[in-house]
Amino acid sequence: MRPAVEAEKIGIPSVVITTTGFTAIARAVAQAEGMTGLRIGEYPGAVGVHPEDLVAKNVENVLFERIVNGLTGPLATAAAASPAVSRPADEVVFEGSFEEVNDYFSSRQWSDELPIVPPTREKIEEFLRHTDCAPDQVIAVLPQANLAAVPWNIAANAVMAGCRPECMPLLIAAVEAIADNHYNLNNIGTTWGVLPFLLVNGPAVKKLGIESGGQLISRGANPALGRALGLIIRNIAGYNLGRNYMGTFGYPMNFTLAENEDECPWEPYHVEHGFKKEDSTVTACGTVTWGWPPAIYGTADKTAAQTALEFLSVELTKKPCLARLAERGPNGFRNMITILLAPPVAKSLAGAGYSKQMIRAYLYEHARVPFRELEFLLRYGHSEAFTIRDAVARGIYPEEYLVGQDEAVRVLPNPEVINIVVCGDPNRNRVMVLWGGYVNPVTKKIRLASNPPLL
Amino acid sequence: MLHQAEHSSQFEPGRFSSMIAGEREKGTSVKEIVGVISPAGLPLGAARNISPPLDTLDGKTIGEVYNNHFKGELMFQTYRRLFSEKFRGVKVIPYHEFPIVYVGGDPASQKKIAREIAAIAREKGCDALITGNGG
Repeated sequence: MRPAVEAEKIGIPSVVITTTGFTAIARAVAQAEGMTGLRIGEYPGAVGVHPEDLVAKNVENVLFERIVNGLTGPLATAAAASPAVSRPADEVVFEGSFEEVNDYFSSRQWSDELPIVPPTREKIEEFLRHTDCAPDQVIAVLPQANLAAVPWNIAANAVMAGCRPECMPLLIAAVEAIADNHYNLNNIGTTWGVLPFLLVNGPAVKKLGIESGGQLISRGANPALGRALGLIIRNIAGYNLGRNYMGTFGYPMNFTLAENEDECPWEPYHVEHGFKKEDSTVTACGTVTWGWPPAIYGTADKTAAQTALEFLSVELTKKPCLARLAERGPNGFRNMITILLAPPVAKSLAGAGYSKQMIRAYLYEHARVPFRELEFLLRYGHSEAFTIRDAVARGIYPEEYLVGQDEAVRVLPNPEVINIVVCGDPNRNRVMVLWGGYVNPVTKKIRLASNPPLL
Repeated sequence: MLHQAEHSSQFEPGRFSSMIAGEREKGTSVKEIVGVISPAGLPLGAARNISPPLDTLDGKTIGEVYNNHFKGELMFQTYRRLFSEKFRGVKVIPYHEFPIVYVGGDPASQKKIAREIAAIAREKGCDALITGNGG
């Protein structure tokens, strides 16, 4: 719908074609771009499963009239251009008991349907003491709703999630990270169910009680931080379930990882990305997958390091949407792979002489599928009008894809799409591959308050 | 605007309140009233409305913009036939004469392509655009 918005801005009436269930997201995106009353022509039903004759019939009997009415009929909304209504960030908006506050927040879609801690002025002010930012300073403007995040509303969400006040600087940095264009928050509303999560590095991990070892996402400060991220995405970024947050089967809880830097045999993630070891950072990440963590065994005929590399090469072809993962270039699809290595596996790889970069290079070369599999996925998994050959011509796929049906082609767009994090149970030999479509990782430094309250 | 549980027309007691109804009847629940701050983002800037509608489609030039998704190529074919049957002198600029709008890229690259498309539409004399497919 973005071309329609730009065309409308220069006076060309435009109709956006949606399918049932997606009209609200089209309007939401247009509104975030500063445009109200977008013309919509809604196709009835899920076009993906309709045969060609039914598509033609629905267009002729339903959709075409909607297009004509959209272009020539009176405007759907008579609302003239109007300034957005603003309000003080610290305004008390509701008074009631714990249960009544929870019902009110639920009715406004401000919660995740679990009970929240009521964000009272007193509790929020405890969080504000842990940052040097002014309480109403605009930290970022978050898409899709293009609403401002300020310490007041960031802290309100953190209180609701059950975070501790000293986590405030981490959450401010997390907001800066998801606001970065490179992260691509604007595009996570997809039916795929993209789940943002955080990775924390540096001294903040221990200082804030963030777990990096066994069962890490379920321990310590991690669950509340993940929950706060999820609430910020709903309440400040404006992602509402079923309106513009369209995950077909919903979303698990957002989670938080931390690297176990004591057990990591390489430079930790943030140092790899240009930060000092003594810096604390938070990286905004995303995943569409969780799941099976294969165990890695060394045997008489194969080292644990070699087994790990071969397992990971296979795992990388199992979980992602390969037709999208393989894309590249400025207009190619955004992807991030996060590989979680339990410390014993990381140490086996390092002991065999592998750096993180060497692991990436190996996986880039060895994660392959037969060409016909990629073609099948593109044709039947995406209903694309264009072929792999067309995508090669547009620079989205590489020329190495112009091969025979049974030739194995590389599926990773580049080695750098892989992010390696050492974490999890220090006594287990497991690995896990997470694939996040639509997002890129963005790392921000956590700026502690110059004079925080004593803990 | 402040809403109070007892008086707000926007507030209906829901499942959280009903959880403790039994406790209240037994007199074992203490109702502490708290005031809360909104967790929502703050609106910025102003919105603008869409451009005025056309008086008729007769004799107009209509541009097609496609994102290569959801069987749009079938739909655009049908629109072309129906335009020629129902309106006089409609000219269609087919989607292959515009850049493809794609799910890839990031907000900056997507906006750049959207602006290029709008500029091409003007250059080609389009009176209206149909863009799809969403879902």
